[in-house]
Amino acid sequence: MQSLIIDNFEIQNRLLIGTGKFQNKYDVRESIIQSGSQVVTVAVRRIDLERHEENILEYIPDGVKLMVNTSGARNADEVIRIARLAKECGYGNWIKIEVIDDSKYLLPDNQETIRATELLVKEGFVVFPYVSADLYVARELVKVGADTVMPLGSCIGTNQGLKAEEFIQILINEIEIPIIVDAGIGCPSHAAKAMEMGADAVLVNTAIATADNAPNMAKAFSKAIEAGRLAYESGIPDSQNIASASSPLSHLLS
Amino acid sequence: MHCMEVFLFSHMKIYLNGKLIEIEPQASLEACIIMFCPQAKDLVAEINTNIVKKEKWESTVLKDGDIVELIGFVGGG
Repeated sequence: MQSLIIDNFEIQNRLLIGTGKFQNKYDVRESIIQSGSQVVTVAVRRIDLERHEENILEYIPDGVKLMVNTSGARNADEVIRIARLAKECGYGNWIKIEVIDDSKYLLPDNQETIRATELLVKEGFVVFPYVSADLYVARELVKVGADTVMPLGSCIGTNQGLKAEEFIQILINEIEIPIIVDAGIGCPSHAAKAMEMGADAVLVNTAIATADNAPNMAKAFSKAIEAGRLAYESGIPDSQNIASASSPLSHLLS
Repeated sequence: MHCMEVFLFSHMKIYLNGKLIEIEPQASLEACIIMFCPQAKDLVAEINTNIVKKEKWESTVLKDGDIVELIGFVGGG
């Protein structure tokens, strides 16, 4: 199976895991280990001085690539601020841009995301912008130097799967940089479908983090994504409206 | 915050992660972090929205009215 190369980093396991919402941080670690995921997202926040919070980074296995998301940013300027904070801490320069100013649907602000991408690329960040599945937006992201496009499958945390399927397919067909489906992926079959369509990777958080057994669910996603990718690379035959026998139709002895 | 009492007689006030605290005049950023956030690892400090690199924490003297933010990593998707 082909590897996905981003910024000279070889990704063999195309499941990216988000680390929010887990019941406990041991499950974060176990989910990463059990699935073999090589890239995980974290967020940055003001430290609560009243109570000691566990540092999420202590639960991320060595060798796993960290990607800091800019959740909480409402415009490009806030994205830049968060990205610089993350970089200052010394955990690399991979940034997932999330610009959200809508608390009901959590849809991304595509225009601010394009602006933030352009600025971060100029500062040397490797940029993963989370956007709506829109061809014009994706083309703009390519133009300003994004490393990937991350179209949403459906709204964040809804587990509704690939509501944007047709539009994601257009991006897969037309955009030359990696397409990583992010958000709304609710079960492994959704992820497998995205991979069969030709997506380069899938990012999953809620569906793993809120499963009864998160590490096993992470493993299930990993298998589904591997299966979907292998199927895609193998060339999935077109569907037909007329039956085509798999066995000889002639009589037994004639 | 326990340490507020310690510095009851000082006159310098800063905002630390959104809360007004009193701190010894001429206190360094490093002293402030050790006092109020001793266990935190992997944190980044900002004064008045400007990042202060870790190697400059010790030499950075806080001023009255400074807005200090200490930022750490949390789970996120």
